Amino acid sequence: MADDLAVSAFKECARLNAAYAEVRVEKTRANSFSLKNGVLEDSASSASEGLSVRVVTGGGSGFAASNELTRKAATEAAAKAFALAVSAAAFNDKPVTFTREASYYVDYEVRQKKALKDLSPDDRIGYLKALDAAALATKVHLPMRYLAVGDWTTQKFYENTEGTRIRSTVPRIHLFYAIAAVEGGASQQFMFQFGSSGGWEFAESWHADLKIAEQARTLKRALTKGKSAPKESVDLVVGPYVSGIAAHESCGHPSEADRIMGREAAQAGESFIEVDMLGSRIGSQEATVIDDPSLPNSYGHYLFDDEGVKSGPRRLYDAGRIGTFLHNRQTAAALDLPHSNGSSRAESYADEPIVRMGNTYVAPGDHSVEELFEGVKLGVYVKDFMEWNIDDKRYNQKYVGTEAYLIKNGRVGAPVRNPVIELTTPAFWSAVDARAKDVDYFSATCGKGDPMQGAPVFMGGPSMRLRDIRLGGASK
Amino acid sequence: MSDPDPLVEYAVRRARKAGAHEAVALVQSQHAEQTRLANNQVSIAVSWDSRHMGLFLAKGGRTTSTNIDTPTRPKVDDAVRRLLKFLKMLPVNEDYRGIASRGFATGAGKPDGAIAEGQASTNQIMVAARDAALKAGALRTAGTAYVSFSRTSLGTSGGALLAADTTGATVSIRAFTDKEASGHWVHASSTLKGLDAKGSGHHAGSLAKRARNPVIGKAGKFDVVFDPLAIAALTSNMGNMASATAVESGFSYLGRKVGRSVASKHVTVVDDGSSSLGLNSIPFDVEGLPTRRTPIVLKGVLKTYLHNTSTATRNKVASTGNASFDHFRDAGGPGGVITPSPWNLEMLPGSKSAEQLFSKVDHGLYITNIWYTRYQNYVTGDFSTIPRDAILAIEGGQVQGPLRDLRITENMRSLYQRVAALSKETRQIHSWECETPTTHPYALVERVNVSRSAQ
Repeated sequence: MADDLAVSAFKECARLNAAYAEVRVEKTRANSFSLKNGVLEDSASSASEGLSVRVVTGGGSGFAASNELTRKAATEAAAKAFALAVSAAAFNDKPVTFTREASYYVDYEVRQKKALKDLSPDDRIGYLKALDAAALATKVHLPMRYLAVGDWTTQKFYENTEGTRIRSTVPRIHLFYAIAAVEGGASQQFMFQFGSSGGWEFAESWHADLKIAEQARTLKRALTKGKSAPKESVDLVVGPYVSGIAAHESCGHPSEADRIMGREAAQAGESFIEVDMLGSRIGSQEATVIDDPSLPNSYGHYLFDDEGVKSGPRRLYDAGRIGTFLHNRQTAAALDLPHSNGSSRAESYADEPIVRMGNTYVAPGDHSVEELFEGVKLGVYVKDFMEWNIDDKRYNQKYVGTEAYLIKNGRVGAPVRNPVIELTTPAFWSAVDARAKDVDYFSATCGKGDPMQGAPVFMGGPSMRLRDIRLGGASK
Repeated sequence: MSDPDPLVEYAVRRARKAGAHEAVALVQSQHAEQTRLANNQVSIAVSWDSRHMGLFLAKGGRTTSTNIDTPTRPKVDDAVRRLLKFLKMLPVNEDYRGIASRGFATGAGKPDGAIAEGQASTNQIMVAARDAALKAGALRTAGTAYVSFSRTSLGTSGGALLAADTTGATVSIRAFTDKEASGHWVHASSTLKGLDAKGSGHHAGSLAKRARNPVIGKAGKFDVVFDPLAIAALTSNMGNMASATAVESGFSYLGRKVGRSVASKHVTVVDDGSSSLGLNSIPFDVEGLPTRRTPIVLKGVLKTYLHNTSTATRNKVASTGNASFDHFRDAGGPGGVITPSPWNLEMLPGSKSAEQLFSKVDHGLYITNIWYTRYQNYVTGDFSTIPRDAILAIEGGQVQGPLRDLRITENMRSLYQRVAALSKETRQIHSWECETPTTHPYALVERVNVSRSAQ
């Protein structure tokens, strides 16, 4: 059926003499369940579908979407996208152009060992109730608990007028929870998300019951025993979760070529990186960050992007230097590159594809985690964080720890309450002097675009040691 | 005025006949257009057309919902069958208390004819904002312009059968004079005539001009004049946290605060789904109750949470008509029947001009936009956010030179208790950081905690 819709759209584009067109047709089935303080709050299922046509012609770009899967709707969307491209071109001095890419004719599917379609509501609700029970079993006072599990499977058809046609089926599952511990009138809160592409087998592999219980105990420990972080400069050891958010926020985002070139300036912002900074030093020799959408069963998994370009690993920071940018066909063409590196993603058929990360992680080192603590006279070990942000140039970042401990003479000791890492991007990556082997990945939903598009991503890395850091930001 | 889509009545009738105790059917047809601008060029022009149904069913206290694209009678029949089978497998939703059965809305919406008839050009709106920004001194601009027309029909087993046509228009323009020097301004309205594209561009361009050559600011406590664009984003958070379910879930600092002070006496925040220019205004909520003007905070005191029938019944109060339409489209979820949320927020203006607010500050900051607000703890309201675009020093009551690289690290309740004055001028804001449309004056807040990177 999708082929027929594409034929109708392309027929209309040919009639109008459009220079380039692409069609996406998607069907998505989704389920979501949530538990609020032990009570089932939300149980929903949905099936959404629709098509979109993007036309680039005469130097302008137009995009039209409809949730009606008929030949008539496809033809109308093509005509609208063409008219919009022509209208946009009238306001432009610089034409929109795309790189020429290889043509592919591919079908791929992420397999499920435990198929999501075979799960009953009981399976999903029981899963949430078991997690809730695991949190309560810690005896930590957790008056506010919110847990949600969901899955969605998207069947996507992509075809362009240059001979590429990709069919894909990707199921994704995710779990989110937020718990708030209260002790003696004070409270601490933690949120976490798991995600994978694949079947229910991954929900079982996360061991989320152990994680939520561990987090509940950590919150209590921080509330009852947590001390303030040292005021003097210290060595900092961060866990994979902190390495991952730093990789995503202060390497992945500033490496997006559309930000660098001002295409997302209106909302998502720009980048401290400029076009001519490729090869410039950004950190120590230890700063190597990779984005790889092709990681099997990752939350950000895709083998071909939403412009039909094959994905693969990109070394964004390479031994402390800016290695490459994330490109779509438009940004690559604007920089006179021969090809895109497959970074174009759209949240749904109704969204314009834009430059996105897939799975961004710090490359592993060769130390054990214990070796990172050795030689640290006074330090802080930050395993988890809750609050974080970074400016829209991706230069000033902040991570506030939830699980953190003091390090004295190489030994990890008393809990530290809410240590604040507030550093510039070059300061953060220049301070890294060692990486461990313990790479772990975490799932997140990354926001960008207008309308906002949420992209499932992994972020990750190993434990890392940063030397001589002042926690808590500048004193004045 | 349009008649309700016959499909909503059909869906409710089918659901009841098949055994559902309660049913809500909502059909929305929407046409929307957008223009995106970058580097003074139209980067893409976009059009969306959709028609979908959100269907909520309950039986014996069990609840579920779904979404149907391009709904038809056979699709509705299939969804009703599927949901009723599904309901049998669910446990009882112990928090569910039913839907409204009387007191339904009577209005029909007040759409803007120009938008409804397709006369609005987002290219023209965008270019008007761009040209005004360039004229005011900007060298480079980026932005979005958006218009939408929606036809919404609602049928419920409680007896509501309603329809409304609504329209909306927004413009967002960010102007640059340098990589580090920018200004941003947005505006939202339910009508094309009410949308201030040129004024938005002029303000953004003027700020960008003043922001040229910024120096790194200092950490400390400063009296701050917030532009509506900046402070509306925080007030939007406050409104979302006033939802009764946000309080129950641990996503709010307003828990157990009804009747207590949560802000200074200058602060009155209302939710109003019925205001004529409100971007999200519509005469009825998803249970069919009339939307209304609900004071959330009155002269600094928290008056109520936002309720639907379920949360209101559990809290032994009346619904505030906040069973919103959220989630129906995006998640296929039960929307406001389960989770109430605000429609349009408004902080009531003060008596001073914006200029008078600046004149009250001896040594402080003028913050024109914020971005990336994140909470360390929703229950306490501890958060930080990053000023972006023009940050201007205020010395001796005068706005002075530009600063950069600062962060606000604060607590929501404490911050609003330090609101010292509000301006007469207000603006309806709708942006990335302010998802619930919020009409807001300029605000002077004392002793705001400002931090910056250590290295």
